[in-house]
Amino acid sequence: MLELKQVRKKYMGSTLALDDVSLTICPGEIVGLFGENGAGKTTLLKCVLGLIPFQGEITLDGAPVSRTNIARLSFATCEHSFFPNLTAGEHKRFLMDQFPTFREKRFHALLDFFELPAHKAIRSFSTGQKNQFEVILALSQGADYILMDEPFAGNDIFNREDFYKVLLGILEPSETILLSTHLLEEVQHFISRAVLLRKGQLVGDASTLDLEEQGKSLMDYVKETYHYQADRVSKALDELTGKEEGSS
Amino acid sequence: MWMFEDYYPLGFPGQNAFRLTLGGLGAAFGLGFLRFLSTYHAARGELYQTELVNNRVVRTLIDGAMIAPFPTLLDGVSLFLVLVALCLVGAIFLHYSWHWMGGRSIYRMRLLPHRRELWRRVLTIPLAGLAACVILWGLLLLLCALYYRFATPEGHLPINCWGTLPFTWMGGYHA
Repeated sequence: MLELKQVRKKYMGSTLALDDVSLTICPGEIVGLFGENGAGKTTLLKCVLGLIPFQGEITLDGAPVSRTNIARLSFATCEHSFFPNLTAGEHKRFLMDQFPTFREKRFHALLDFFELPAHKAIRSFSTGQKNQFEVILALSQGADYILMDEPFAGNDIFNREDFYKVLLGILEPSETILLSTHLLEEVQHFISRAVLLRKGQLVGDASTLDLEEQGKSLMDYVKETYHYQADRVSKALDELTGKEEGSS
Repeated sequence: MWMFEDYYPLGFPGQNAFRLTLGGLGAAFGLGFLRFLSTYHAARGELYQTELVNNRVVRTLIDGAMIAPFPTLLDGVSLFLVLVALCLVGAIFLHYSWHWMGGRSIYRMRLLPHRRELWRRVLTIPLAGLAACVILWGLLLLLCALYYRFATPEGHLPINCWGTLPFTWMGGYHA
């Protein structure tokens, strides 16, 4: 179980990026992490991984995240954490050395599925292929908790759809996904829980099953939580048009 | 099996970098010695005078002339090794920043269970190179000292020719 207790992060000279965020993620959950730009999604993931310092407590089955249990977490980021000059095969060899639990079979299966060449340097891949490879690495590491930060930025819709299907097909019951994305509607049938962040605060946490029972879509829930004003655009347009008419 | 690439950041052109490091160290040593030879032979030339004997120019040693003390002949000898050492310090920054090029592979390195993997790849070769610089600097001084001691004509080494350098075991006081 991944537990965050009153996690707080303040970047130098800025407002709070995370403000007392407490969250528990159980094994097997597929959690969508949503929020507008700057809501703190990436910061939250980086805190979990120990990539940035923070206040509060983050534990993995009761133990702080450290070198001893870091292999149980993997990370796929839109910033790309692969080695651009290495081939897929070279990545596999390196990661197999580092992670005894590396899932070689899954790695090859995913490479084949996405038709990614094993003997070409990753830098020569298209953006979409790079994203795919990044996620393949995270899924193949053999981690229990797979954290993904906007992993599909730059992929086309067909590609993303394929990925969700493949993910659902290959994940084992103990594997947990924490997926930060803007693509609400796309992932709503893929995730089991939605966590909403706004200005560094946790403002919503609901299971998709509960939402279904309430007859709400994920988008409805998000709009409701963020107090989205549906008439905001038309009002703004009216005002703008009115101003223009008045000034002419 | 020992592989150059295992001691460089992943994807770094390790073999070329290693050759460059070895070449730099060798060249710095060689150039340092050449620099010494140039200074030394200029100083040694001052021990001689030229005379015209039977219409022939003859070089003879000046009685009582002393060659300059060894430490004064070392100007610029270490310069090339210092430059290589500075490059090796720069290589530490290059190796580390390599993990930001074309992505953020630094994240992957920092998430490895083996704590030392990142630093092993960033520091090993530059630190080994710096150690080699120190050793080569010692060897270069020794080589220069040996040359100075044995290429200088007998009786033309000054008192305290080694200054504070630890070469008195070679002799040289009015040798």
